[in-house]
Amino acid sequence: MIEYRDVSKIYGEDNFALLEVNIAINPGEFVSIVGQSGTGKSTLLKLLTLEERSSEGRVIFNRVDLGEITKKELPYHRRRIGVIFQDFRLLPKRTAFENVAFALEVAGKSNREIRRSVAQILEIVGLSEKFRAYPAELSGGEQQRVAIARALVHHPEILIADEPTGNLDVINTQEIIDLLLKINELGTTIMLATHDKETVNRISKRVIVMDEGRVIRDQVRGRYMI
Amino acid sequence: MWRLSFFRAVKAGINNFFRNGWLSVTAISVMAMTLLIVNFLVFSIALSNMILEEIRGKIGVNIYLKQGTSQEKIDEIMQDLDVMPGVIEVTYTSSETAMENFREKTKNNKIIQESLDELKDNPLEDYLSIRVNDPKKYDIIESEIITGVNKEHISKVDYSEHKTEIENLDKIIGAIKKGGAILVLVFIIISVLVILNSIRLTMYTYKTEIEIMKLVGANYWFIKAPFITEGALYGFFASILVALAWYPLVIILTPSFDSFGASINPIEVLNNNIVVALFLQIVLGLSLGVTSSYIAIRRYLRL
Repeated sequence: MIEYRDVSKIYGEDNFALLEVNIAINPGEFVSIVGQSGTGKSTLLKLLTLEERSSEGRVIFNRVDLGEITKKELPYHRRRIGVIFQDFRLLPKRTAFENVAFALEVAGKSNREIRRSVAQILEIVGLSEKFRAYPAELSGGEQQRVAIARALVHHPEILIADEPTGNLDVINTQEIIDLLLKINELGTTIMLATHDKETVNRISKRVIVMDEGRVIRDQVRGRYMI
Repeated sequence: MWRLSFFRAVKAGINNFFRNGWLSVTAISVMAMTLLIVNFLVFSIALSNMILEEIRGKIGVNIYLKQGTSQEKIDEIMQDLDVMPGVIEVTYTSSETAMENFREKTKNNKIIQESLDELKDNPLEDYLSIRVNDPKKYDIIESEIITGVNKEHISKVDYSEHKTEIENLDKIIGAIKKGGAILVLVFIIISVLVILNSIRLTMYTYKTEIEIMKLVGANYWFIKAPFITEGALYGFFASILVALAWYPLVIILTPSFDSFGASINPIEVLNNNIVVALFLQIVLGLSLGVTSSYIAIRRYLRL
């Protein structure tokens, strides 16, 4: 489904984020990418959302070479990918419902379709009761759930999570990871970038360890070890 | 689908406009200033052209014929003049009629009347009066007549004293056009820059929104449309504002207009063209606003 083939992201001499990375990810996998800050985890993910493009090598997504995606096709590409971040990136002046609906509005969906899809997805993330709340009225965990709902409302084939629990306490982290596992069980591929050892060990799925832009370990049922 | 997206984007633009209250006020003020100057320029050029037309209609040039020129020759010259471009009217006045007119004009002046009585012969010459539609045509008439075969029959060509007036007026209009065009250009550039910056600031305010829009795969024009709407609103409100201010302004300025001695009434001129004027003003405002926001999008919106 996703393939990184000899991918490098080079900014200048001795200045690179990724070096000759080779990874293949199958549909339905849950992949944790671990490593310290600045080892290229985020860059790896940004190559998928095309926030960045590789300097060398190819990134293949659903048999499409991402290097060939034009600017015009980019919005449609991004609708096939859901993304969540450490800082949630919610719109503070919109309610939970409106934040999720926003993703469908900008894609030109009808109001009826939006109401139906958003209600459904809020149910999945367990926020049906709080759809009228503004982000400031929600806990960190709940805000991240809203962000997850927004990421999933397009029914993407893959969910990319860039340090989603970085701002959360232990209990909330637990809940978010459980939710990600549930989403994965429902069939969505998940790529999780994190440096939280506990989290990774608890998931007990495939782990890719990165260091200084390189993949140094790739284990099917791995633990966080450097 | 696109209609729905269009309304959503326009709605977002309207929201931006009202949320950035002071920014919008600044942008509208500068744009209104520009439109006001454009108005002044267009209106004053239109009015001075009208005055010029009116004065041109009133004046003419006299061609004095040497004494003893035959009636056939006079008819011939009249025909030559008649077919010249720009000539509206040619009239013939005989020396006798000229004398009568002169006596009539000076009948209250005893000294002149007495000295005229002393004269044995009529010293006045026959003359032709010509009216043309453009003062520049006088030069052509003059050169055609002086160099032409009629030269020997003509004693002198007398331009109406209005010629210099007309030429001055022409020069003034030319200067208004030139200076005005530069002023308008400067103000257009300033207003474009101000609007551009207002929209850039809006973009900054909506940074998170734009980022999220990109993230969730919004169509590019869906991201752009609110800013274009915002620019269009600046232009629209500025033109409406100027239109409202313009009417009373013309009423206030009309009395000072009488000194030109023309029968043209600015208010009437405005009333007769009000629909076209309003339309053009709104179009100008809208295009200024939209162009500025488009430049802002091109320069600052990284998609």
